[in-house]
Amino acid sequence: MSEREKREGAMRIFEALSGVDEQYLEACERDTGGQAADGRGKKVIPFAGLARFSRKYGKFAAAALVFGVVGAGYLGMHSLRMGKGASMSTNMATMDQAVQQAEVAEDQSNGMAAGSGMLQGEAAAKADSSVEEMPETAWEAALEAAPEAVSGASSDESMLKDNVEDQVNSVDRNAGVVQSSNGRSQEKTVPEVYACVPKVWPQGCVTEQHWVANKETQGETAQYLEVSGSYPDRQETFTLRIMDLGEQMPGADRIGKTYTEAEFDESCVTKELASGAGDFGVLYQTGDHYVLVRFIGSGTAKEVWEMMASIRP
Amino acid sequence: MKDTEILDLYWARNESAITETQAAYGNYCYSIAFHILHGKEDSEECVNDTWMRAWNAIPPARPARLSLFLGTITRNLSFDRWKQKNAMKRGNGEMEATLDELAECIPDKSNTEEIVAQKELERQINLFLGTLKEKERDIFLRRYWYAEEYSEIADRYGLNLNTVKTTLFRVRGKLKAYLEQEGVVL
Repeated sequence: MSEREKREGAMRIFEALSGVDEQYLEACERDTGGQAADGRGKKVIPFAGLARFSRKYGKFAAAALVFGVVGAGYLGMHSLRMGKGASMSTNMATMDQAVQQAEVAEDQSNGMAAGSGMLQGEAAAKADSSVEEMPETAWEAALEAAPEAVSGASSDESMLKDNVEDQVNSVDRNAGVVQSSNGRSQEKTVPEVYACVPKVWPQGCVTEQHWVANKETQGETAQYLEVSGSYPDRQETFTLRIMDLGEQMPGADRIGKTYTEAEFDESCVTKELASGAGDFGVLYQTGDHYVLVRFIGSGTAKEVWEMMASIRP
Repeated sequence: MKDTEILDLYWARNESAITETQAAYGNYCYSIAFHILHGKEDSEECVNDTWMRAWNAIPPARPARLSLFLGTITRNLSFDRWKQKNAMKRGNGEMEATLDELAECIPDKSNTEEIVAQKELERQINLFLGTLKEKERDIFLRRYWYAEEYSEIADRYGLNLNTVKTTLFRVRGKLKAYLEQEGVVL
């Protein structure tokens, strides 16, 4: 039987179905799998639109949320570095640090620093626009921070009250010791996160570690270890954000499938990836936990690859 | 407005019958047309033609279920329009997939010797539908009467997408076997 004959036969069946018993159609419209019907045979599913939206766009929404959170964290950390973050320390070094960071921000706003330009997507756009506004406020914050630094009057408690959504909990350079206002979640987070700190750093690179807490809208606090790397001999920086995702792996079906979605399984880390991406994440598993290591910034493909490949939780 | 009241308007030759019909069944008929035609303008024209056909048919007709009566008219008009537009040319859209799947049900000519009329085919299909479980029949009709997509059917009945596909695959196989058994030639 030819394709044409089959198609004509199919059309005859389709036409013949117009003569189907009304009782069958009626039952078909009535029976909506236990769902209520609206009297016209149309099913009414509570939150059906939401479910449909979630199924179709859930991944995009989740990705947007992740970018939003990461972007907010980035912005928050920048502003805190240049402003209130300085008040966390109770020694004179705080004032110096704030002033230095304000200068850096001013440089960035003039296009001299490379870091902000290396971000991609929405977070980068937000970061850029915020950087433009930073110098003045940063200087003001630095000046405000000075008396507190001198008198030692600052405290974590007051920080928590008047702080914005994101904050730097503490800074302890390269020591891996964390002091936090949220001890419970911090204790849970640290072992998995530190297992995913790179063993190899790019040569000549200077690194700093910060713990950053994002207060998300749901009221939960996600914390991640941020490692800032810079090369004194060249205008390049990078940031690693190491976040414990817990035992649930969000977007698990995306991991390892494609290089274009900028989030990869451990086994996908290659030199090609490192050379082609200025912003990507790699998912590691340590024990029962999943840890996402996000790289933002620049470096040579060899440097980035060696650093990422050295992560062996 | 209830169906009986709308029908009374038709019988009274009151033109507000069409307005009321549009308000009550406009979306329903548009949905049927759109699933077949996948075009806003064509679908709207078919729905408007449906009201005209209904106006001409009632009276003398007094359908027991107005929705099914109107839905059947819309479906036939939409399919006619689809045939005119496609004229056996292959294209995209759900109708192509729908017909491709139904083509699987066509028995080989060598197995049968006589050609049955369209009415006989309708009768056979009704008999076949009577052999199916209710859920199978509902899914089959949703796909091949309403031309709904798999995902819509899965949503409607709260089923997994693969369950819908598997069910339809099995029912098509059963229909093919049934038509062969009954000696139906298409």
